[in-house]
Amino acid sequence: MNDQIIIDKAKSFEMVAKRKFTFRFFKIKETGIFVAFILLFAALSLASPYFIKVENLLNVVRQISLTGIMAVGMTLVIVSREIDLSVGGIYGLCAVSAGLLMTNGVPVWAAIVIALIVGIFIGFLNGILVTYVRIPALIVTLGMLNVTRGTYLLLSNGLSVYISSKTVTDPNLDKFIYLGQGKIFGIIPMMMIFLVIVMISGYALYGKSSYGFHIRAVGGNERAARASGINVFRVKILAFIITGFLCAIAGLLNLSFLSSVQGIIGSGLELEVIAATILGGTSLAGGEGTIIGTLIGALIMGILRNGLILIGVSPFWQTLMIGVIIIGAVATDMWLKRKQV
Amino acid sequence: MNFKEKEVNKMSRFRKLIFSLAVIAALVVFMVSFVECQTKSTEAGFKLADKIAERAKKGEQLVIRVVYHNTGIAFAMLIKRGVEAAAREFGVDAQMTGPVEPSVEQQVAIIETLIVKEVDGLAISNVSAEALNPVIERALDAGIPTVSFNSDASGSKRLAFYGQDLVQSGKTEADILVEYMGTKGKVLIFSCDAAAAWSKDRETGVRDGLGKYPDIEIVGIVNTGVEEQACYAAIENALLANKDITGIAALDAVTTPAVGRYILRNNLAGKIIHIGHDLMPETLENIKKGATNASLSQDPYKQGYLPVKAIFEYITKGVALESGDTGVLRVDEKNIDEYLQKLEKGEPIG
Repeated sequence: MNDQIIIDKAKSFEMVAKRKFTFRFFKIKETGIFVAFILLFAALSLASPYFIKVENLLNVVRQISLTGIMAVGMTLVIVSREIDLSVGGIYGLCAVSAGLLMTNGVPVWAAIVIALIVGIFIGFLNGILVTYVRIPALIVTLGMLNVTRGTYLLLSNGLSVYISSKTVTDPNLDKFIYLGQGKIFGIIPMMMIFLVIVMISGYALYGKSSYGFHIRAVGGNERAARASGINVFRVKILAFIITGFLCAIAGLLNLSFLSSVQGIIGSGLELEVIAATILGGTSLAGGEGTIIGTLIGALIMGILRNGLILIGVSPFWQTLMIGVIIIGAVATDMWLKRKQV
Repeated sequence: MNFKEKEVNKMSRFRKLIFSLAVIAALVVFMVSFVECQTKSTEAGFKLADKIAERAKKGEQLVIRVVYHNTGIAFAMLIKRGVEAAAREFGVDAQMTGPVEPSVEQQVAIIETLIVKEVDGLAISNVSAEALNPVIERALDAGIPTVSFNSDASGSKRLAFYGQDLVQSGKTEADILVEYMGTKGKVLIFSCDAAAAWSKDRETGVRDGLGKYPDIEIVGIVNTGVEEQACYAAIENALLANKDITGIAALDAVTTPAVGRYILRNNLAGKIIHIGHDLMPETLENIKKGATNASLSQDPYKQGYLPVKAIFEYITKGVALESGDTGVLRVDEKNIDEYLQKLEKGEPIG
């Protein structure tokens, strides 16, 4: 009898623990989008035996690296209740600037630093115009998209900028090319390493520092944040600067990976970056979002494109299905979030 | 755990994160500092992958993918018809794929995925000079026979090219323009993607051809983009700003019908000489109406057909891959009726 009571008590403790785990699992913000990712991953694994190959999965991560890097900055901007449509333009301008500097005799590392400064400066300009000059971010960044795009077309004269040992004299070019094309131990793409570094930095900054708390406070309720002593303008400007910096990194990696940059660089990229961010659960209303969610959002788009090509879906059907599945993924996320409330 | 302990734990986790970040960054710097020049070159002789040779030996259906750089335009559908015809004739699984709008990153991603998929052959049209060279090399290193078509990948190690001599087509366009316009006048060049490799080649041909005539001035090149409204607006604005234009060289299947449309709507037929490229249905109508004087076809159907045929014969019969010129076909007021009839019958002219 006593043994039975002990067994029953143990079973009920186990059930409580399981319920607590389930409860905790569904409380995690990224659960919804993670579930959508797992479902999609499973479906594509069943649909194509090539999908689950290590080489393919590493390719996918490499392919979403640049979007993912820029999406970290976009997460900060959107959480602060703003938007940045100029990411594609900054990305292109920094890549073109670096390429032109290198092909005109500027040392490789100097060209990299200048490109990063360009990205930071444009981010700073965006921030100032949105905060102190009080122009809506949509307008500022849309205008900046055209300014940056026009600038790099003017600088390059619409021509491709190609970097190679024939066009760049600096012997450090090989090291620069390695940043985009290299593979650690012959397998792990360098671009993936950059993505990991940026994700960890973003996670630390957003989730574990006071800046992260401030940005969520500003996005949640700007007035209350200001009243509690947070420098709202500084928070927003920093978000734009970080985005500009990350776009510059992405542009440089693109130049390194392709060894060239073209007039169409970055075209439509802003929508990809915003889609990955929103898909990851970041709210356009501000105040809510996670870096891990953004990573999952970028991965969903990456595996979708990759999987549809492996299955052999035509490009037109791909475009349609990507839209449908994005809506489905966000719907799953929102349904699960309602369960948490 | 009290508040202070929680704060201490939080800081400790933050420090651990920063530390792991620093380790990864240090690893990157360490690896990069030891990089030496690693330009991997495909060996002088391409070696077909054993898996592909074995599949061919067993008589399995070969999988060939034709990657076009802009599948969202009407011109691409003619290439697709050529690919599908070759697929039926040779019993291969051949499909056209590619980004719906020109995008180097997307095209590279598509080709990388097809390499992982271990396709038996690849035909690639190059969206931009040199950008696809590394991924073409990877395909060849993987033992996949890779050719280019429509727009060549100059400097790459592709095994053959099937398409038009684009520089020559530009020169022919220039010659025809002079034939109609005379050796004096002002010319505007229109392109839907002036930075693209194919466009630059044609533009070079046009400029070389017209450069022989000192009294012909090339006012400039207008990049219209592929979106129809934006393209038409760019043409309108350029021609309103240059009312003394006597000749137009349109370099592609997007701008040629659009320029013809503008000339027709503004009663400029006969006042501006217009030579274009490709035989879109609207272009043929414009030639019939006199809005377009002539257009040059590069035979997109053949550009889709030939690479599939060549790759199939290379794998199954060992026939060497040799480049093929799809030629420059002129359609003007003398033979327009013949081509309108072909269009009506549903023949793949483009």
